[in-house]
Amino acid sequence: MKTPTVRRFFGFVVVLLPAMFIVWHALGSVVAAPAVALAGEILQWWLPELVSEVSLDGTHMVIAAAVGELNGAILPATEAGNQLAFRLDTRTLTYSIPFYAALHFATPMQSSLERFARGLLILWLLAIIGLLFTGLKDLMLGLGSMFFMSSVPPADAVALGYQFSVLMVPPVAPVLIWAFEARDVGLFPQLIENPAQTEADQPASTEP
Amino acid sequence: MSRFITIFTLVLVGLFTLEMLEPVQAAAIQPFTAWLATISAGLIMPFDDAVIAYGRVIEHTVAQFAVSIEAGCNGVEATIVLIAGVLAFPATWRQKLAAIALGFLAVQVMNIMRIVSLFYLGQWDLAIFTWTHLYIWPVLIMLDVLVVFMLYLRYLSRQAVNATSS
Repeated sequence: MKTPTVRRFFGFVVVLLPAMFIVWHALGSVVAAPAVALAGEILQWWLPELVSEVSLDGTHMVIAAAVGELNGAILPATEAGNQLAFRLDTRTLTYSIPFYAALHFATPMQSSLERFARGLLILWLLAIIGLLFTGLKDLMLGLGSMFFMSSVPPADAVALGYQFSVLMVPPVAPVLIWAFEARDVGLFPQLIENPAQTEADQPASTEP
Repeated sequence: MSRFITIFTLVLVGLFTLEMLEPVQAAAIQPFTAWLATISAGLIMPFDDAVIAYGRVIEHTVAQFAVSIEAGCNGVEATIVLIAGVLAFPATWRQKLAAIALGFLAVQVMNIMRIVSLFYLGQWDLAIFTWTHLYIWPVLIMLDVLVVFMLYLRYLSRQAVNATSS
């Protein structure tokens, strides 16, 4: 298969990006549904005393807590007479999918659809982790000390996991997955295949 | 490749964790973000005298609209990705430092474009502002990092070829 030039590749990406974002937007909840379903199952199994139900409302994951609020106090839902709910925007995590699709389909490669499916699966798994951390963060901020009575990670770990899942993973993961899948295409001179060779090829004046 | 992935991941996670530490935020990230807001406002002011900046906030006094530049909007995370990529790939320290410095500039130029565009998009339509802010600009900034990194790799590759042939 013909190796694209860097300029040509980025040209294709820029053309494909709007189309992929339109498809992603049009698909709405379909993109988020698999990740929300699994993240919901995990949360309900892990924290049954805090999470009573997880559902998908459009592109938002809704966590219905097993607790409610009465006069400023967090109580079991039966005592409080209400249930707290948290809405998470799944698109802050799944926008990685149209980005990955644009990078992938701008690169001519063999078994393209198979590789794309593999990448998509990884992005969904990462979205599940992101949804879990976002859910934990919302429960932690919403329920306060009651949250820490359950078997949950320390507050700093939740905060760092949330920040990493939202700020780093969605824009970076598509690039890494694409780079791995496109390692034999020739866009990366020497990078993926043999970095040691490149190191050996450096001029004699190379610094340590 | 495993070497690249290992170094990249370690540097990425390490620098990101460092960035999130409260003392680092207070001493470096927040002052830098405030400076970024001032620069952005400084670029807008000659064309729009209703704009003011204070701290990390840029405000349009007539439209009664303001944006606050927060974590994730200051280009620091994108720079961390670039640093991780550059450090993970074998090159001289001079080449690495030059790539990081030029890449940082490229990211910040793009980031200032993001801040200015979002500032005016927000005054026009909040839904489009939200969409662009949360989903489009992070992708464009990362694409910018990828362009810089691939140009850097191409430069290194040519250097290596020249060194071999001479």
